[in-house]
Amino acid sequence: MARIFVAMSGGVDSSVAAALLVREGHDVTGVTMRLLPGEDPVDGCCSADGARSAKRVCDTLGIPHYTLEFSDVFAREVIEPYCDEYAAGRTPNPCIACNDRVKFSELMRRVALQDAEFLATGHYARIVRDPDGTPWLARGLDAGKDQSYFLYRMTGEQLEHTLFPLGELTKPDVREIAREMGLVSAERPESQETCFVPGDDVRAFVRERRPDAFRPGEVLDETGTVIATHEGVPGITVGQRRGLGLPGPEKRFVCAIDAATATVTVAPKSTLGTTVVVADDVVWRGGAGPVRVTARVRYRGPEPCARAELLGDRLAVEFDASMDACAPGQAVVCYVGDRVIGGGVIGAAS
Amino acid sequence: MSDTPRSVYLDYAATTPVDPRVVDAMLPFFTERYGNPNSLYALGRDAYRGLEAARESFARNIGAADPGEVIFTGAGTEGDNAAVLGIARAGRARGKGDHVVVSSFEHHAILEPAHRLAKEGFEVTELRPREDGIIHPEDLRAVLRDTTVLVSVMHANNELGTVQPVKELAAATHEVGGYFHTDAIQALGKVAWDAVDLGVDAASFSAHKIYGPKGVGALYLKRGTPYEVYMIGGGQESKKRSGTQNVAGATAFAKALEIMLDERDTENPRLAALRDRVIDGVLLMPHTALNGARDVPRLPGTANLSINGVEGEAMLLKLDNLGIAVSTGSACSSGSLEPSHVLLSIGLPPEIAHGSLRVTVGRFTTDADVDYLLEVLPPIIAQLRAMSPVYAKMFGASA
Repeated sequence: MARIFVAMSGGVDSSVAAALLVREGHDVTGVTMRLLPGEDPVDGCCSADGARSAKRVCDTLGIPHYTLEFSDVFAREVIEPYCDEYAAGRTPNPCIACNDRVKFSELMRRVALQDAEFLATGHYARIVRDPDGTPWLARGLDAGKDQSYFLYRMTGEQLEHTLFPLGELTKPDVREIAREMGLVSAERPESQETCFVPGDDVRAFVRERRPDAFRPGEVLDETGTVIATHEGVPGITVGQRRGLGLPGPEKRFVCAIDAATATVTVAPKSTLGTTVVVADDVVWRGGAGPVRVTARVRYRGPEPCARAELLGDRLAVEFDASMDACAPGQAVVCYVGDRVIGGGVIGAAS
Repeated sequence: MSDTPRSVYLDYAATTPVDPRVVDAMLPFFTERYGNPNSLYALGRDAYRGLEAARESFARNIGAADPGEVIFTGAGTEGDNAAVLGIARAGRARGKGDHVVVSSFEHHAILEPAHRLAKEGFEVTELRPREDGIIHPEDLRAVLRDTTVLVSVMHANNELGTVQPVKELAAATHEVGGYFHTDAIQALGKVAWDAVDLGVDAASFSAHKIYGPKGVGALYLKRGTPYEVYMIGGGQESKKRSGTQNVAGATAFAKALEIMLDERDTENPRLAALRDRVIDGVLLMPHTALNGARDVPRLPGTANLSINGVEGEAMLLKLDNLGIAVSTGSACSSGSLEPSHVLLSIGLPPEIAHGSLRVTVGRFTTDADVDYLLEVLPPIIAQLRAMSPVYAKMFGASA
C-alpha cells in the first residue's frame, strides 16, 4: 500500500484514476488545483464546478479531498508566458507548460510535503522501465487518447514519483469503469478548449492582457505582394488557412509570422513543406549522436520518421519526407517505439 | 485510507456544533408550532408568539432599547451586506455625504459591499489596524471627515481574536455625524455587549458561531438609522427584511445567546486557559510568534500563531490527516488557501502570513484535545521545516 495523491479535475479520467487506486487498496487523497483567482469564468478542467465534482467523487470513494490554491503559480508559469508567446507571433502549448511548471513541479512538491510517495494523474500515458529500473515515459495504449505529447518534459526523477493508472486503458474502458463504480463524473462532457480562455477566444484573451501586441499589419503572398491586412499577429498560427480574409480562389496558408514588423506571409500549400525542425528549451534522454525516431509536431496528426540529433543545446529533427509547416511555440516530441526520448519547443522552421 | 485515531475540533471560529439545549428549543417549531407567523389564525399567532419571544429575549440580551431594533436575517453575511449597503446608500440620500470607512481586516462580507459602494461613487477608506491587531480611535479620527456617512469596524477580528474599542470608535464617528456599524459576529456572547452602552447604530450577528444553527443571523438597527431595505417582498420584519421568518432559527439564536450569557463567567476563564496553553505550547518552538499583541483585549478562545518557514496549507493537511481540525487564515467556501488579508493588514510579510495557524477552542474543547494538538504539532513542524527551502533560507538548515 502506498500513500498517493491524485490530481483531480472533476472529469471522468482523473476520477477513474483515483477510483482504481482506491480499489487496489492504496491510501489515496484527491487534490484539485485552483488555477484561476476569483470567480471562475469558464467551465474548463480547473473550474469551481470541476472542484465540486472532484469532491463528490472523493466522497463516493470515501477518501479526503483538498482544493489547493495555485492561481499565483499558474498565472506566472502558464498564463503570462502564453500571452508573451502569442504576442511574439508564436503558438504556445499551455498544457505542456502546466504539466511541466505546475503539476509535476509545484503540486508534486506540495504533495511530497504530505508524505505521499506518488502523484497520480488521469493522463493516458505509461511509465515503462529498463531492466535496471530506469523509468521512461511511454505512450498510452489507447492510441486515440495518448497524452504523452503533453508530458514529454518529465524527468526520470519525476517519473519515479508518478503514477498513470489509465495508461493501459482505453477511453471506453474508463467510461465503463466510471459507470460501474457510480462516479458522478462518468457523463461529464470533455473540454477540448484551453481551460483558462473563456469561450476559447484566444485573440480576445491576449488582447486584454497584451494590447500593445495588436498592431495592424500586412499579409504578403509568396511573391511579396500585399494581398490583405490583419489586426495583429497574436492568435495567427503558422499553417492556418481560414480567418485571414484572403482574396482569390487559391488556398493559401500562413507560412511565417514576423511580430516585429507585424507581417504575415502566406503561400500555396505546395511551397510550404519543410524537412528540418529546430527546437529550443530541449529535454533529451537520447544520448549524443543522431537517433532514428518518429516525431510529432502537434498533439494530433501524423508522426513521421525522422533523424534527431542534439546540436549544442538545440535539437534538430530532420524528417525523411517533407512536412506541412509547423507552428513555432508548439513542441516537437521524439519517440523510439513507444518511449518518449525527448523534445523541445519549435523555433523558426528552416 | 489512513487511520484517523481521533477527531479533535479546534476551529470554533469557523463554526460550532449546535448545543443540544438549543436543538430542544427549536424542535417544536418544525412539527407542532409550524404556522406562518404572519397568518391571522391561531396557528399563525402561536408561531408569531414564538418569534416575538425570541426577538424580545435577543434584544434584551444585546441591550437594544426596543425589540423592534432586531431584524432576523439568513446569515451573518446578510446582516453585514445589508448594513453596509443600506446605511451608506440611505445616508447619502439623506445628504450625509459619501465617505465610507471600513477597516482593512474586516471579513469579506464587509469588504465586498464596500467595494461595491466604491463602484457606486462612494469614497471608501480602508483603515489599517496597527501591528497589535487593533484599530485605534485616533487612527480613525485621522481619516474621518464631515462627509463620512458610515464607519464599519468589526468588534472582534475573526482571525486574530483581538477585540476592538468599539465604544470609542462609535463615539469618534458620531463626532462627525456619521453612523457606526460593527460586525459583532465573533464577539457576541463572549465580550460584554450592550447596544446602548456601546453607542453603535447597527451591528450584525450570526447564530452558528455561538452553538446555534447555520443560516440564521440578526441585524441590530438603532431606531432612526437611515437604511435602504435589502430584501424586499412581503414586508416582514417591519418591512425591513422580507421573507417568511425562520421561527425555529430565531428561537434557536435567542436560546443560544441566553446560554452563552448564563455560562460566560465560568466559560470565558476556562477557554482563556485552554487558549493560553495552545499559545504557550506553540511559542516553545523556535521561530514562532503570536499574531496581534498579547496584552490587548482578546476573545477567550482564539489563538493565531505564525510558524515561520512552514506553509500553513501543509500543516493543515497534516493535522487533518491526524484528525485535528484547525484553520489557516479564514475558512472560505471554495476551501482554498491564500495568504490571509488579515495577517497582511497587520504588517506580516506574505511568506510569514502563509505559515499561520488559527486555533480556536470552544464549549466542547477539553484539556486532552489541547494535549493532543501539542503532542503532534512539534514533530509536524520539525519535519516540514526540514523540507522547507524557505526555512533553510531564513534560519539555516536546523529545525
